Amino acid sequence: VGEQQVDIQAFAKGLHELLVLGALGAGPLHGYQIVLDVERRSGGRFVFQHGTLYPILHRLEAEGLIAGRWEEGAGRRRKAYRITAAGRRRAEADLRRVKDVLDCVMEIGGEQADDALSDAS
Amino acid sequence: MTRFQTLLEELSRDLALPEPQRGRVLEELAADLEDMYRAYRGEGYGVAESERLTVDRVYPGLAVAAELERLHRPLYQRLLARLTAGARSRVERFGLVVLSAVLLGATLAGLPLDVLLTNRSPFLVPVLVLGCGALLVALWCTHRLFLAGAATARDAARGLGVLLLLILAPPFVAAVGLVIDFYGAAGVAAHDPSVAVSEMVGLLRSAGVLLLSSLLISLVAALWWLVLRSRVVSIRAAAEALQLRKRVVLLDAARGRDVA
Repeated sequence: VGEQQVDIQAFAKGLHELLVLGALGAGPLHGYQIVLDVERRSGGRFVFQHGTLYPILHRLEAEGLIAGRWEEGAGRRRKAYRITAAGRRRAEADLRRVKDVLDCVMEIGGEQADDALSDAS
Repeated sequence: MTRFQTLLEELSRDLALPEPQRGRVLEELAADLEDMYRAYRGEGYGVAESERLTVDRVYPGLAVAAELERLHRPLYQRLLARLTAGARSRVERFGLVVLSAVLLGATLAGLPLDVLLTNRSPFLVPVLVLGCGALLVALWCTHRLFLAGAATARDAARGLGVLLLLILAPPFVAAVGLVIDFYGAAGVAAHDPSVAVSEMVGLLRSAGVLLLSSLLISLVAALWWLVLRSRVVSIRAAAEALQLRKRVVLLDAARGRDVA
């Protein structure tokens, strides 16, 4: 049981990483584009504030899950990121883990969750 | 000079990073601040609102700046942080670093390499092999406990028993060598008294150097073992006290956060 226990803090942190990997799944993006993309596609549910995106980007880059590349243009250099093969594998595995955890939460919620869902529909 | 220049200069003062890491972080942020601002302006937001939204989304807060600083810390600083992870105060951290440096320096200065490499004792190779084995096992354990974070708390101590044996083995072999060499020299002296003194002195000197070197190697490895052992104890204590998933404890330790 201990090995499968969910660490809530790590789980939340993993969600942010998963959002970044998901945003980059469609193609290379600059940091600010990732912020906008995640915010819009989530309908404002997920917002990277106060530069919280950058430690995530740099950590994922150090782990080889994404790759950063400097681009020249309009007299400035910008850094764009793309997802690597290892990043795609990690994203798939994390998605499965998130689904397992949410399935578990829904199962525990039981009838209350069913009622809430039917009310919502 | 961009509209966010003042903020970037503030951040530049707060980011205690060496070049070129500091420059790269600032350059990336400067470009994203400007591009984000333009994106908001392109969507019809006013100047003030675009600036506010851009700073709110992209400009790092103090905690984020600290995290960036931790991530981009130079290798030697990260290694020092690992070495002193068990220390509770600045004085303890400083003490650990000084102690390690003194022991390492004493070992290097104390090893009479010229005498050691021309040593005639048949026990030289076994002692060196065992000493290198101890250092390799210590490196492997260090990687597992401080860097990889792949082990669980249950098997965190794996390899420490072997390391202890390898620490004790070189001085033991060298001591046995000293005794055997002494008897060998005594045998030579019995047959040919004319070479007795020089033969005895030569053999005893080489055996003594071998023993001293093995003791120094073992001393360093023993100190290393103590650091590894204290890490294992703190990992187990954290797993037990916080009732955390054992893998999480090690992964957190590997990410540079002290759970204990």
